[in-house]
Amino acid sequence: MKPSNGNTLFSLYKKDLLSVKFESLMILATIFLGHLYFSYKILTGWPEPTILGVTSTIFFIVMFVIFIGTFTSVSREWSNNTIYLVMSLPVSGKKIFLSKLLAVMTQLVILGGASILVGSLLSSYFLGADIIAQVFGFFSTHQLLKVLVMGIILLFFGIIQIILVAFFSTMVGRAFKKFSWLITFFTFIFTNIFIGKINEFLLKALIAPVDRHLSIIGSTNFDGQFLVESGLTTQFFLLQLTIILLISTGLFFLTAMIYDKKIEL
Amino acid sequence: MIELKGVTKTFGSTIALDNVSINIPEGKIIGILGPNGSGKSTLLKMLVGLNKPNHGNIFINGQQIGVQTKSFISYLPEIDYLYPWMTIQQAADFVKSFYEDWDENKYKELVEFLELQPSMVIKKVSKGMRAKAKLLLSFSRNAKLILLDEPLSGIDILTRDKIIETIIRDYRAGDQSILITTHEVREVEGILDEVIFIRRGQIALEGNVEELRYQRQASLVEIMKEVYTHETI
Amino acid sequence: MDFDHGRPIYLQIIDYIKKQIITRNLKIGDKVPSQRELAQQLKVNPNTVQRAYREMENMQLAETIRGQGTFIVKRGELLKELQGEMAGTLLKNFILEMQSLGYDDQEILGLVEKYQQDLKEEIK
Repeated sequence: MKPSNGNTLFSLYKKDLLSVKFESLMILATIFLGHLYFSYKILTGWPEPTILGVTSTIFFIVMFVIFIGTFTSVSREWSNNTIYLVMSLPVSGKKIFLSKLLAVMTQLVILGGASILVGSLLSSYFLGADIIAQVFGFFSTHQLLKVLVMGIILLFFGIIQIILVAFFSTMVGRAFKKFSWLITFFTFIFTNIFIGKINEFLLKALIAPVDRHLSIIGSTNFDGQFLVESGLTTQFFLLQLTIILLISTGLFFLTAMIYDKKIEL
Repeated sequence: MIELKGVTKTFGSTIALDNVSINIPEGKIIGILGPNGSGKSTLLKMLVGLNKPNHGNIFINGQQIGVQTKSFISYLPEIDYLYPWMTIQQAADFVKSFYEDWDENKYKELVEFLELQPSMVIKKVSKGMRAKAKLLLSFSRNAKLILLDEPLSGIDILTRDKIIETIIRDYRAGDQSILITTHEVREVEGILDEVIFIRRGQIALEGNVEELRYQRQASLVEIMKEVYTHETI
Repeated sequence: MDFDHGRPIYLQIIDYIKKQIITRNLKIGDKVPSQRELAQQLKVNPNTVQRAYREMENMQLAETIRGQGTFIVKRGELLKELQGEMAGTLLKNFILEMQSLGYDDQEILGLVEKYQQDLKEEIK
């Protein structure tokens, strides 16, 4: 029975997920316990709005920890010596990194989602459910829903890009016998800077000056709410998304190529 | 079947393999012998793509090393390379999904023969068990080429016997090739068809084992001592 | 079974089969274990066993019938031949060794008789 592409990818994905089972459960526990602890604090005196700060902080910590896990997802194969198994398998680097990408994304979605869920529930409890309705109404009446969706899409693919930069950096690091971590670190930083520059260059070159910037005009009206207007046009969105996708794809193939051709044990 | 043409491999200033050219025939059990650091492990690693030569070419069945060649090779490195958190069954399920030549019946038989339990967690069992687990996964396939890197090192005598028996029991002479590197020559003498002695990155001696025994009226152990203490054969 | 790795193993396998015949464990016309079985039993390479079997066919010690296996040839004199062969090797080695100890032919014969007697007494 010839192993199908789907089969092998799923096997790798399952393995990559199970590898982080323990850490993920720890993060999940932290999400619940963290929210629980601060809820207790709020119930015993802290002002209600702090729930928003607490939720956001916990969320970003979770995102950050998972992001660090991107690096360990690769380095762990070396420290466990399982890289000997992986490299001797009849699979290309593309599948290996696709699997790892999917595993990290799964973590982000599930754990990030859990954080957002718990956070939203507690926020609506402490701040009243109508606040959520108000916020939602606010967004839909001001054409901001479209902006929000486009922003989320860009954020989503932006996260994928960062993960791919992380994978790329680990492969560059591993291509050298010494100072792997240092090289990974600097490659990560410089690649991001480099991508930023390319991004800027392409945007400047391809968008007419008038729509060049994402302009956010914030102004307060008389009852203290922020009015957010943006100059974010669909054209900008599509262009930025294309750039992100192209860079991501390039990084992905480059990473797989380094693995296939340059990595030695 | 395996062709090395002018293969050189260096690690920094160390020369692991020095302009090695050799044809390794199909369907035999071949011992690649030599002291530590002589380049034997490197040779095996190159066959399965874990190392690339600095110079020269390697062809397996006329193909370059890659995903295609890996699909019919079973590689057993000296180190523990299985996911420590997996059970033996999980490891088997993982490996089996990548190979067409996985043989479920062989797997079931070998599990019993090697006295392992599929529910054993790899990081929790003894070294001998881990060695058997590695062997189990390698031999539950009908791979065309099996590469064993020091399969007996650090293993107790009884387990060694089991390992040798496992190697012989399903071996398809003439069809399957097994390459074994070891410095425990005594243990594997009985099962080798051909031998290649590597000394400081070069091939010092190669040939059919029985013929060498006949010609030199000596065991491989004795021949090996000769090869490595005299500069010329 | 322990092999002397200083001699070709396939020859030792043939010796082993011959001994089996002499000690009547294997009779004329009997089926010998399959190559794979013997390889596993003796813990040697199946290729080596194959070579031994091939040699035995050349020596007309055994014959392979397709689909059925390998059998000791049905030659009535086989047993006597093998016994004679083995005895010859033993005796030649014995004589040479005794000579290297310094005994001459007469002394050797004398000693042989003496020890035959001793053995008979020991059995009683």
